[in-house]
Amino acid sequence: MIERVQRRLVIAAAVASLIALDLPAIAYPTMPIDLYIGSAPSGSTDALGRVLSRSLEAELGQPVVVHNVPGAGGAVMATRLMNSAPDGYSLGLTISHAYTGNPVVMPDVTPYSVGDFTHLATVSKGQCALVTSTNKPYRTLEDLIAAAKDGEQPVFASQSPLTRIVVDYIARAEDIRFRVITVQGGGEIMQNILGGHADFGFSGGPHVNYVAAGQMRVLASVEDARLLSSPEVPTLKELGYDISSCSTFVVSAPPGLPEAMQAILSAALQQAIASPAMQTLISNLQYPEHYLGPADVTAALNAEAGMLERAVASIAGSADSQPGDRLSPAFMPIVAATLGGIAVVALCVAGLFARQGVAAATATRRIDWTFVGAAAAVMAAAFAIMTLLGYLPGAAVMVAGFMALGRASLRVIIGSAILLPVALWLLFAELLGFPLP
Amino acid sequence: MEAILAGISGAFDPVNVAFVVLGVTLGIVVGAIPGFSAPMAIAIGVPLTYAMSPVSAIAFLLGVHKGGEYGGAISSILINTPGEVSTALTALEGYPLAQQGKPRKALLMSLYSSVSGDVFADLVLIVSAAPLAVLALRMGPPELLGVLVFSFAFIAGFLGGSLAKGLVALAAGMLLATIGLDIETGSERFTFGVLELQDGLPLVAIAIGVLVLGEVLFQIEAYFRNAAEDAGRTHIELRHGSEDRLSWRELKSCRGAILRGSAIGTGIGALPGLGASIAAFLAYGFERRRSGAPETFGKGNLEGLAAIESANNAVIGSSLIPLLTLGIPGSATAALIVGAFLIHGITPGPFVFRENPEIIYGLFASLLLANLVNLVIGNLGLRFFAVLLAIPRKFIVATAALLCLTGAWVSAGSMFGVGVMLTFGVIGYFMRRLDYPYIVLLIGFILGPMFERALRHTVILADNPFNLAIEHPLLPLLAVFGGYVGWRGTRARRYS
Repeated sequence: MIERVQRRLVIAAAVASLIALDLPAIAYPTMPIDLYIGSAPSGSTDALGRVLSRSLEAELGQPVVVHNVPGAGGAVMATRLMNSAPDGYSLGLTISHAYTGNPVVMPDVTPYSVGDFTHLATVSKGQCALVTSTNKPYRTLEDLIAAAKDGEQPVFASQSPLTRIVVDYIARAEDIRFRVITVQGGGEIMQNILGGHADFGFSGGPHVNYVAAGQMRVLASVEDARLLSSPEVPTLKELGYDISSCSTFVVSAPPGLPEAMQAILSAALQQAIASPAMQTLISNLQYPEHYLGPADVTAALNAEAGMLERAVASIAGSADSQPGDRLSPAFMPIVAATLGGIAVVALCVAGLFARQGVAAATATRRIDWTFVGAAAAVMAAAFAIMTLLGYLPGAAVMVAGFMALGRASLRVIIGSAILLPVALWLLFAELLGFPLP
Repeated sequence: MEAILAGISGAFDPVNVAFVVLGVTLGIVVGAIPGFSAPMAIAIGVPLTYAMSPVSAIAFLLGVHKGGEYGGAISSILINTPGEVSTALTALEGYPLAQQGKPRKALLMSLYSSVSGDVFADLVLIVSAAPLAVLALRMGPPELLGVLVFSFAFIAGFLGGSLAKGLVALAAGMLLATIGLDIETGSERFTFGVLELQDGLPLVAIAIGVLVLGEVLFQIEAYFRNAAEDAGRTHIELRHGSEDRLSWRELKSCRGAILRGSAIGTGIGALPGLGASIAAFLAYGFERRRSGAPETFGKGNLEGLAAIESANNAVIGSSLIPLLTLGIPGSATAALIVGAFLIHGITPGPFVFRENPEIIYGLFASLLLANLVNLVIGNLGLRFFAVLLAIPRKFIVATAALLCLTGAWVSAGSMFGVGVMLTFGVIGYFMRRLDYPYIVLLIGFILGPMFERALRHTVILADNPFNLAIEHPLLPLLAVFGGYVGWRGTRARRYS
């Protein structure tokens, strides 16, 4: 891993010096490019990333290697991207909310903002809507709001703070109350709506088939424009609520990417996104085409961030849009800690009766601390070496350490420390195709 | 209908069949390693499935699970080194048979019972899953809460060993699961500003650490203290003596035990929570009480063995019932399989029957295929697996440690996952050393968040508790029933 970084820095320096000399063309790309996807494998972002990588390979003539870096809705990947070298060999694909929403909603843990990246293109965008079941009596959003004003408290199924922001905004504007349940993922939202447990919910796209089958109904588009699949339904903005909360899929690079590389990359991206493979995937996902080049992407992201900031500010302090959640986030940790604490106390008390005292709960006398210390040292060393030098050295250290602890002969230690890591590397990296450090 | 046929034919695709065969073989091999068990095999297997298609991935893991249960029986019967509670019972009945010079009889009975239990449970799953899914869609947060309360009471009632230690493990698991962003309010819990912790601790890394690395450390320590029993090689001979066969008559005489074991396993496995170990225990106890000659149990009773093995394997198929219908796993292993589902973009739950029916039916077909493969490989491979047990254990242990390292990296994509895995390996070691049930830690980690969400959603949706009890009668019913079952379980254990 270190060698690659060093190599890239050398190449970046060479390229920079070439540019300084004002030579017309640069040799880029000359190495495989890493595309970091800000989501777990599978899902629309991942699918888009993988197909994009193949189309991009065709344009650039170099392999584009996909790495999944899930976490925090794309923020973990974004942070890593921001800290990567701006040498044109690191790209990131994630939803725009990672750049515009996370810094606004979770500023303390998001160490970046929109301007900390070189944004290159948008690939497509989601189709976000407020949906309800056809079994419910609400035909339009106005019906729902009227019911809320009547004293009902409709239940809203949300996926994250960025999806419920819409409903909080409406509640504030109309001085009504909703009950919000937060579930994991679009599938659960569909489930709750179909099962009648939620009156309406936020959908990023999976509702389309159910609307076509007559089981669901779209109340409003949460986009800036009307939905492709439900063009007769108004947007929230048309209904008078100045908010939208839908993500685009954005390709970005670390800050400070040289102009020449930006030009090459954005031209290649434009072609790759327009490729038949990408267009087929996008229409299969029922998303619209939505390409923006570098000049427009940053402006669009800034606008989105600004809108979200305003929305968050306007609903600040409206904890009253969430009635009934008498259980705070601290509830579960307290319950678990209490349960565990009672059990530990019970163990100690039982031990006292058997005259073993606290040791009954821990039986520390039975533990061989030399072994624990040695094993921990082996694992720490293996971890450090794997981080710094890569998989093979780290694995070798681990095998050697464990074999040594197991009192194997020196020949066996060395032999297995060499053979086993190589064997596993062959299995995982070569045969199965997983990238190992 | 098209989707069903598409799914079934997809299951018989050569690539899929190859994965099933691979999975079963891997499961038997890993399960046969002394100290290792099916859940460990699955924990290692999950990262391997990233490159596979969804149906193949799940079929592979289920093959590993089925093979793993049988593999555990191999080492229990031949060298009396069980890996977990269920295999400890197998050792109890199977090892005496081996000592009497009838290892092959025990192994074959184990194999046929296992496969029978598998088939029984899989058929129940196939027949009942779709109708149950329709019903399950109507189950809202209050009903789910009831199911989970019942599960917890059940777990508490049937915890093996010390109840207090089990509760500590459960509470620890639940507490660990609260790390991360609270899904309702977006506020941070125990993240200490670490970005990676926002999504909580990764399940696969924890599972690999607690289940596999913990065992590795535990076994290495034995060598460290020169206390290892088989520092060398073990020679096991499967003689061809005429008494060491399983006759058709013997098999037929155990068919009642097999049926009863399968039924108990299927019933228990369908309850979310702690299916596997309990099912075997209950089936064995039931068979012993029913038997006309209870004193022969513990000395090589074929019916007892049949009951244990069929119950053990029946749990596998039936733990998929709550998984596919409610999204709640029926055991820790099923939870790992949920992880694999999610990785492949399938959210288990009543929804999956609508969204991905071809995957469901492909899965069903793969399950039955895996049973067949298990039967064939188990039969043909008897001598091979016995030889496997003779490999010096240090190599096996070192390889397992490396698999942990690699698997953790592959599943997490960063050293963070590796770090978590290593930490939980140490925790798993301590739990084994101090007799805390480590599986319960996993169960608490998995069921805890579900319980919390169901509870908070119920509170949000309910206007007042009395209306709730009337409109959603399942909740108080299950809670009370759970309390009763749990209480009975605790009492039964005290007297056993």
